[in-house]
Amino acid sequence: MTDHGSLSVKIRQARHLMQRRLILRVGLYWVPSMFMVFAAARVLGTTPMLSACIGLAVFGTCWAIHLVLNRPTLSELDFLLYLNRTSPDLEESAQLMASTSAEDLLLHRLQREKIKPRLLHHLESRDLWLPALANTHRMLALSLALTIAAAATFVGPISFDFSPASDPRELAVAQSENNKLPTLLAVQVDVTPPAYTGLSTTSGQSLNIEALENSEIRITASFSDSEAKYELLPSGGAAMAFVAQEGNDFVVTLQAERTMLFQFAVRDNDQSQTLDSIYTLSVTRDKKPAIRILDPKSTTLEFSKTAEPVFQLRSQIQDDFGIAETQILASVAKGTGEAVKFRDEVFSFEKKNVGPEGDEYIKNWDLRTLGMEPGDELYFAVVATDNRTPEANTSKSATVIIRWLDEAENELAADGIVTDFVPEYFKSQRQIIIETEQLIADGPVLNKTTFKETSYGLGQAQSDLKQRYGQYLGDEFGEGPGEQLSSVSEPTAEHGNDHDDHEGREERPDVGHDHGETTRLGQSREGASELVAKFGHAHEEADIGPIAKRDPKTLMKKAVNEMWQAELHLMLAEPEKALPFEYEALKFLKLAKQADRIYVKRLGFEPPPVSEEKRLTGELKDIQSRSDIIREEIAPTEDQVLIQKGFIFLNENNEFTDEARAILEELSAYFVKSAEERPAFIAHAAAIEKILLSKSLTPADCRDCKSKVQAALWGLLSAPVSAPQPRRSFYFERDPVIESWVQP
Amino acid sequence: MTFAIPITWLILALPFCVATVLASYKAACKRTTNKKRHLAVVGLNIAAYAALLLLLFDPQTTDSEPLKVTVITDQDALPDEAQKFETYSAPWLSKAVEGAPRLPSISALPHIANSPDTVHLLGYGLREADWQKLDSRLKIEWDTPRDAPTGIIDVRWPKVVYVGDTWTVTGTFEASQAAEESEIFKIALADPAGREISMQKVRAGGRFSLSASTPLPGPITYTLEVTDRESTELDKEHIALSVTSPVTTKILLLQSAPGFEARHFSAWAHSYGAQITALSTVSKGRYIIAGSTEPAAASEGMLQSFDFSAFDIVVMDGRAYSDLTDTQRLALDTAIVNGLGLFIQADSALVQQLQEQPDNLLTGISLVPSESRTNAVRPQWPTQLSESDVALPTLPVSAYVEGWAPLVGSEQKGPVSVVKSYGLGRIAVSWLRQSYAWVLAGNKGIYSSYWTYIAGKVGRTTGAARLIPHADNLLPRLGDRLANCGLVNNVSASVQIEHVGAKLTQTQTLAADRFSSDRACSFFEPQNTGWYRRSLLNTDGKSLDSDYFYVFDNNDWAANFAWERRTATKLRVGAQKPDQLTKARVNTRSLFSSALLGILFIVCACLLWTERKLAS
Repeated sequence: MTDHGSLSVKIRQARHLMQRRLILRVGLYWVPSMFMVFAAARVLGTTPMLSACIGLAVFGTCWAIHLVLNRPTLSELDFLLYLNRTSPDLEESAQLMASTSAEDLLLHRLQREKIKPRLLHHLESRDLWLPALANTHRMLALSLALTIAAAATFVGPISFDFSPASDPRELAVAQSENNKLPTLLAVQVDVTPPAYTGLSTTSGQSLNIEALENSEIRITASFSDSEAKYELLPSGGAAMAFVAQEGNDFVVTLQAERTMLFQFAVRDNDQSQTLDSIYTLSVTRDKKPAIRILDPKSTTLEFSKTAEPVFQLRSQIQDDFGIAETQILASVAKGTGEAVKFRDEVFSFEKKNVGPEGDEYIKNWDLRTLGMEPGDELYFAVVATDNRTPEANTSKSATVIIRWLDEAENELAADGIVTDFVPEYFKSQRQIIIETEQLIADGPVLNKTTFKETSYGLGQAQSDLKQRYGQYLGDEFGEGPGEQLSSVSEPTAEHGNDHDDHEGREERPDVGHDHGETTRLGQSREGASELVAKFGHAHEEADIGPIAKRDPKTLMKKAVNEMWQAELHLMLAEPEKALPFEYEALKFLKLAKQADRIYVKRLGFEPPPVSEEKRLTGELKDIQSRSDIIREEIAPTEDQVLIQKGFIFLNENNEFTDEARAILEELSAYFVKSAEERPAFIAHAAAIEKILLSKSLTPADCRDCKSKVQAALWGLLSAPVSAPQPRRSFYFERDPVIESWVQP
Repeated sequence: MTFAIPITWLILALPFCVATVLASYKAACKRTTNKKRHLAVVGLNIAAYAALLLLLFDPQTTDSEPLKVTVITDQDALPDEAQKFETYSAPWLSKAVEGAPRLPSISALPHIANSPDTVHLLGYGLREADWQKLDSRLKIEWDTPRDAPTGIIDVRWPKVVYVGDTWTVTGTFEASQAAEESEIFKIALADPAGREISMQKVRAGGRFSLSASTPLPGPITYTLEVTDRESTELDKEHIALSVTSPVTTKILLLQSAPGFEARHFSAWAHSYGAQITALSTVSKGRYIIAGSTEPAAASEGMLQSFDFSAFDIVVMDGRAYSDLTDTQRLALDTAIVNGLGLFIQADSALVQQLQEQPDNLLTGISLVPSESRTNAVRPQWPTQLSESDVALPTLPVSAYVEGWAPLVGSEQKGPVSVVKSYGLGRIAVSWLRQSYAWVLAGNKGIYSSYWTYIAGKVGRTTGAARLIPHADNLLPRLGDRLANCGLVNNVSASVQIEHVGAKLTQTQTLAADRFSSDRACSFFEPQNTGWYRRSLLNTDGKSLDSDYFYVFDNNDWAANFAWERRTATKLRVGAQKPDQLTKARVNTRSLFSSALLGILFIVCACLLWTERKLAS
């Protein structure tokens, strides 16, 4: 190749290089746009890959458009002219290389030969003529775009809130501007219990307040509109105005007198408009002191004529906040028959031991110091007053009878005792069951402490009842006259619920396994056989009889055993587990009552047979009317009717109608009224108010309100009673096939 | 291989084709000297003739391999063996298995799968209703699943009950294979408030039976939960119950003298919706008549003309029965034959009468006075929810019955009342006394349960048009074809079905059942889960009866559903007889595509024509 040829090649190569460089510069100009588009796509929520593709596509499109519109074309002549600009050594003659040698003038040829080596040298030094790919500005823009894109990748999609303000306060203001009602911005609730409780003030932000009776509640709230007047609207009470404080705060103070619902409202002239939410105030009452007589264990204590008439009274008294005063109210009965005289006295305890489960008060008695003699009786009861103000609670224990016997009086016969005293205790066991069921139903809405305390209290009551029955059956804690009954050994069928042989059956009395009287009075067993008789199944005994021959004492012992289990679970705050045992205990108590009286003599009157001659010959003059209307039984209470109506409606409807509103308002009033006795009901009233406010049976902020109210109503329904009904069949009697088949 | 035209024609056609090809070659040689074109002409001619001959003769092959499809009935992974056959997912699968499109219904299988000869089932199989839609000659291949469905199976409960009625849900719990044989499971029935009301402990495979009573009408949902010793929930399902109020029962109470039993009975029956008329004899031919509404004044001899047929059940004591005249007894007899129920409370007068004058109505029963000291019992009857802790006295008699069935039993003495059918009606005699003792003891529930049971067993069946409840073991699902039937008493009726939540209503005219003119049905395929209310309407649109039914989701009662399918499929497969199965079809198919052959011929012809023109 000639020199000129090689130079032409080099010029051509350099020109192409130059063109490429110019195109790249265009591309690089658009690279930041790619990164910005990528960042924008990421922020809008697309995945990184998709964002990259979008960015590349936009970049490529822009680059292509730019090239199409402004294609950096470069002819050889333009390139050579450009080279002239880049080097003075070329003496503005580089363009001479574009022409062929045959046409040139001598001067041109000479000049061309002169600058040829310079041009070659210049072409080899690309830095001198090749434009830079990116200048400083371009690099800065590229760096910035790259940084933004990287940040967008790490941050990820951003959700845009196009509301005018993102600050909750501003948002509340914006909302209130839309709704034209102020909104609650912040709140503080200070609850100061009564001074006598010794409890300190508690503060919180929840407007569903739990407070002790007579506590002072101070609510400090700030609203979006600090110029308006606000008030607190309690259910069933007069409105209480908020007092404006410095800043945006408003304060109202109220006494916790009753469980109720309340709302905030804004007062505009004479009109009051409620703000959105419903809140509850649950008031816990100060309970009366609980008195347990630990000693003497039985309610009747007897001293024989020659015994030393001294005993110790130990009483455990506990209260939720403190005992103010204790007294022993005593009456001494002297004499017998018509000559009996009573003398009332008031005593105090001598000593007090502080314990974790209550204080123990002790007094030692000597009947002789009271001026008593054999034949006299002392009755006393412990009275305790707590420190509640303004009106204290007072409790009185059961009366204990102390008898100083005169002669060898017969001790109370065991037979007949069971049926004699039983009726008054049935109510107590039933009451325990009722209260346990109430506790279980209220469990979800009570706090843990209250739940445990209530359960413990029921456990105490169960324990007391168990002791009362037990004392007549000669239990280990009984020293009373019933001890002579304890020679009957323990029933051997008490295997509880874990007996493998009885699995799959319901927990019922073991009819065929009544081994209660495996040892009779007068019989003796020795060693191993005694153990077997006590703990094993002694099937050879002949005492297994039909249900009519159950021993009432055995049934009572079974009842006491069930009470042990019930008490255990109540003390452990497990009322659900205690309830079946309570029912079993009640069942055994009833069976014991019936065991001796299977032939029900008291029910109905069996007249002697009437002779046919005398029959239907009586006078009719006293019959005022021979037609009558059958009276209904005691009709269901209004509350029951409402509960049934409410449940049926909620169960079958999902829409909020006028009928729904009417029923729900009635139900709300019912729950608010009932909350006085059962504070847990206030939660149901609040749920109903939320439904009424939102005008939807499933409000957005309380999706399960309807189901909770339904569950509460179901729990309040009375036991089902069936009604007379026709015989069920899936055919008509007049069907010829049926008629022909049943002809007698 | 077969041909559309006999092969002999090919023998005749071949020489013709060869001659034509040679002639074309010669003509091409004349046109051009280009050897390539010569070869091209020959090749194109051969190809054209081949295409033409193949089109005409259409060789076909036969294939007798059976057409098999696989249907996946449970959400199992697709096994490899099935992949060579067409595979479909059952319509009830919540998500179609990959590679196995979901069938819209089982009945569509023959159409979609081109009438398969063999169906290969994977999973627990098809339901009984699905088997009825398929040809019984279809061959079934079924890989019986190793593991039985785990959960509550064979469950049943009455779908419609009355308020206060005792209803029972029964079933079996199948535990997983990993469970120990001695492990105990607890099955608990909870009410709508979530409270446990009944519980039973069973072992794996054990049956359970839990009862409850509902105090309110409407669609009520209970929950059945199974837990193990650690209280881990193993299964939880919903029991959907439609509770209705019973139709008014008309009761006539005849007593020979005013008494407590009748007073309590009247008060209860009247308070709970019955229409009761009580006649108490106060003198010869004179009565005090008490009614739910103001009754007509009592008059002498009124019982003579009394219309027993106006009542559903007559309750009387033995003396009142003995005092009936022959005319009255005949009227009573006729009424019982026509459906009336008679309940007689036995007393000494009846005992004496049975001994002296055997009665037509009371044939087969003899009450003999006995000296038994123990004459108090705790009665037992099937719908009793809780054990009675009050013992009731009985008449001191020994009963000898023939042709009577026990109505109410007792633990100690056997039956204390008996019943028998007489024509369309029933007669019951009871020597249990003073049932009002339950009321006095505060056991109102037991008292009402006892008398409701008596009325339901002895009283007349209602003649009113009514809906027939769904079967106890039916658990309606989406897409099921549910029969809604009613007893319509020869009148035109329709049933309106409304979805409680979505308020979608559909009214269908009932068509008489081919087996009975009184029973008419329509069919409904639910498209939504949840409660539906159905009402039986007469031609005027008045509602004659209504109840609710619940449509379960495909995931509800999964174990029971699988068990039902397994049982139905076992029966179906077990009943297969090889000689009755569809023979495998012979499939013939062409070896070559006629379209391609046609195109080849046309292309070759065009090329030949083009060559000819180029040459010219």
